[in-house]
Amino acid sequence: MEDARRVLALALVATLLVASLVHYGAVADRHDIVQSSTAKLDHYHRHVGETVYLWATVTEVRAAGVVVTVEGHRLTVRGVTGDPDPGDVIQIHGTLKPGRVVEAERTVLSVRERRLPLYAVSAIGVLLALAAVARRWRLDRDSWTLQPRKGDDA
Amino acid sequence: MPDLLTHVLVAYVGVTLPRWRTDTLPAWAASVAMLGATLPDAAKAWILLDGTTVSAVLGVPFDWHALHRLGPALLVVAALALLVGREYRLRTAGLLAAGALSHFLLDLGVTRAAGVAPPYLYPLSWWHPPSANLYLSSDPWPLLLAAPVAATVFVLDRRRSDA
Repeated sequence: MEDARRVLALALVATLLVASLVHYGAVADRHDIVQSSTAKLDHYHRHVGETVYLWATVTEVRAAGVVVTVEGHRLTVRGVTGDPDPGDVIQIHGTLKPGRVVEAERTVLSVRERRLPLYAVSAIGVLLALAAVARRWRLDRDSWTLQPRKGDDA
Repeated sequence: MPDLLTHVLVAYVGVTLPRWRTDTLPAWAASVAMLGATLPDAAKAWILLDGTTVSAVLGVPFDWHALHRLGPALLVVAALALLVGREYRLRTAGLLAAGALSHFLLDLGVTRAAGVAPPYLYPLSWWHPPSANLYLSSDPWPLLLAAPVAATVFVLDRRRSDA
């Protein structure tokens, strides 16, 4: 009985979780500042003069500005601070100007070279957490539940 | 976010220190909080499988970023809590949630060009909390600060256990 209730509860929680991912995907374009800004690029000319907050990838650095792509949209950003290179990720808070130009009020640069170390260190974090759980918990095959190892349940 | 290792170490210290003062936290508490601290970054699943691909397959909108929001993160907490024995379920849920909350708090420190963090309170609210603009995700110094503190706490905790 306990097993059946647990499976039912798990199925309910999993359903709610998937529903929340679907709901978020359906409405975030209207509410999330980054996603609503990105959505404006689909109809750029309608939103000229509006403020946006974009996360973009640098593709080219020109005298006229930094060329970036945001979900397939190519933009030129003026007023970028720092020294961006192709492949870097750049946050842009600025205003949409005619001609697919963004006049940045503030930019934040994340250089590409630091991305791999970030992922590597993060993977170590996940492994450390999993190792800590494995050290303190065991699978009880009778109840198919995780139980603290002997001496750890106090 | 700072790197995930920093999140995990902060959760470890955050649970181990109070354990020294109270008997209510079991020996497994830190391990659960450490796991909880990783949960919001399950949203990074988009690196392996883009949300638009999932959306195309399912035929409905889909966004992994939701996992980095309060409501869905708590649903993951509930799912994981259901995997442990009944007598440990409530405490496990609490510790997983505490780890996840510590993750959100640390993420408020990330530098954002617009000065606001994502709407972490979804689905309760779409409010964008102000960001503290202290560090970038890729900055090494949060880890350089957290690692020696966690190592010291680990050594002291081992000594206490052995005593």
